[in-house]
Amino acid sequence: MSEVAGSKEGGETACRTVHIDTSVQVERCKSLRRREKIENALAVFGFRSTSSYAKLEFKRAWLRRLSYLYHASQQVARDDELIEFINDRLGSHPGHRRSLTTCLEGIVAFLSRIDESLSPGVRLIRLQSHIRYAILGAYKWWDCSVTHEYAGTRCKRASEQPREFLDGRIDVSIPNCRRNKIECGIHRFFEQNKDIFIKVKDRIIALGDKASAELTRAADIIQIAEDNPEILCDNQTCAKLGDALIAVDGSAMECFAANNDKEWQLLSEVLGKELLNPVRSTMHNRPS
Amino acid sequence: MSELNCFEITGGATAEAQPIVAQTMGAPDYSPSVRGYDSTLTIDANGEAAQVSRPAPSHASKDAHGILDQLLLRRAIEIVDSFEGCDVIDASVNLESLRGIVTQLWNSAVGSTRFHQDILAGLESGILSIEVPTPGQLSVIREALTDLSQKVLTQAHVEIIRSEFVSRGFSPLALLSNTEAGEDSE
Repeated sequence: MSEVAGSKEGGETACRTVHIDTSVQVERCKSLRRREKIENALAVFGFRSTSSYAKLEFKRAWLRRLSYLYHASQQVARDDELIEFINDRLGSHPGHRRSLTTCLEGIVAFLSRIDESLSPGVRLIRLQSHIRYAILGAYKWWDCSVTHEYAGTRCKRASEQPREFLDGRIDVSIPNCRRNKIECGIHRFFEQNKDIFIKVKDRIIALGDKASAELTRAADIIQIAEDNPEILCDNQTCAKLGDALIAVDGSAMECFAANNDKEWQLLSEVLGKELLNPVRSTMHNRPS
Repeated sequence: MSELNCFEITGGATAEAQPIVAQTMGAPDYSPSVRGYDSTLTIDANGEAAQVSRPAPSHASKDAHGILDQLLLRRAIEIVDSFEGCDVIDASVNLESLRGIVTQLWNSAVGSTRFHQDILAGLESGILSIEVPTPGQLSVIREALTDLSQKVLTQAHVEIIRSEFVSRGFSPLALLSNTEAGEDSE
């Protein structure tokens, strides 16, 4: 592992290519200070790609939770009632913990900017406007943040951008996908890249107990999909293969950029890529 | 492989993006040509093909029942115009004043339309996330302020301003994730 210089290394690197995972894309739209560090690390790459499947994860992990926050903000009269409202509904259920965390982080981030000269009612309108602006502008930001988006899985749900109805409601829903009504190309994508997926599976199995839970789940799914790729045409199943799908989608790139090293070290080794973690400023060299 | 990324007026890589129709709704003081687009221009998902279409009659006018504080807006535009040639200290002072004005604009924005509120949110998100604005950023900030002084705005105004903010490097999600306390927590 080596430290990454935070600036461009010269003209020769201008055409270097990197494939960016959801974990880095999420960090890229965060605070200026964190973003600057990441952008500097990515600046050495003249061509930056991501995967449409990463966009689906982004939508699921962040935009959908912001949408819940938006909906919740419409149920209260003052901004200071919002945290209590969300806590009441999400706080007691362990399965909602991550959603709760995202919502609370969003509110806290926003409240840190609050101006006490505004009344609670005005602040609530302000918060709602910002959430709406964030959700509806997110796909534009995503598109502008990369040079190219691979869409090997032809994920229909990723292509459905958030939209606003005339009555002000926002649609960030991700309807279920079912094998009896296939609308994407994930099964064909798997078939076309079956050899790579099997290599990933074999490497995960070789890791044994050292493999993360996410990788172990991915290996199980690959095992089943080897004989029946259409099993992947189900939103609950394909989600378990997330990082592997994103990595294989960007296999033409020289380098991967991710912030979840446990999974991506293995994926980059199998696919013979360098791994950059621009959040921690570390680089794992390409395996020889 | 999808097509190479290009800037899209209506956003998103999907070909299913709905066309956005810019409308003037008969506002006498509104001059869309100044903005560089036709008042009945339909912008497709690629931001290229354009055709004349008749706007839906009720969409924009339904919410148009208030305007923002014009004095504050004029003051904000004066400040934006004062950035040219100023040093770092002046820029910082100007930006802080601008932030104060934008905050106060929310008082009048409550009685305005959703379109005004969306543009104001974009403007506020932008000016809160920069320290020294570039000329390009100032340009879109000024454009947003000019839009906000209009009585009638449409979804097209919001889409255009949102796109311009994004293309100038502003993240629409920054303000909702800007937790300084968590900066170095990893």
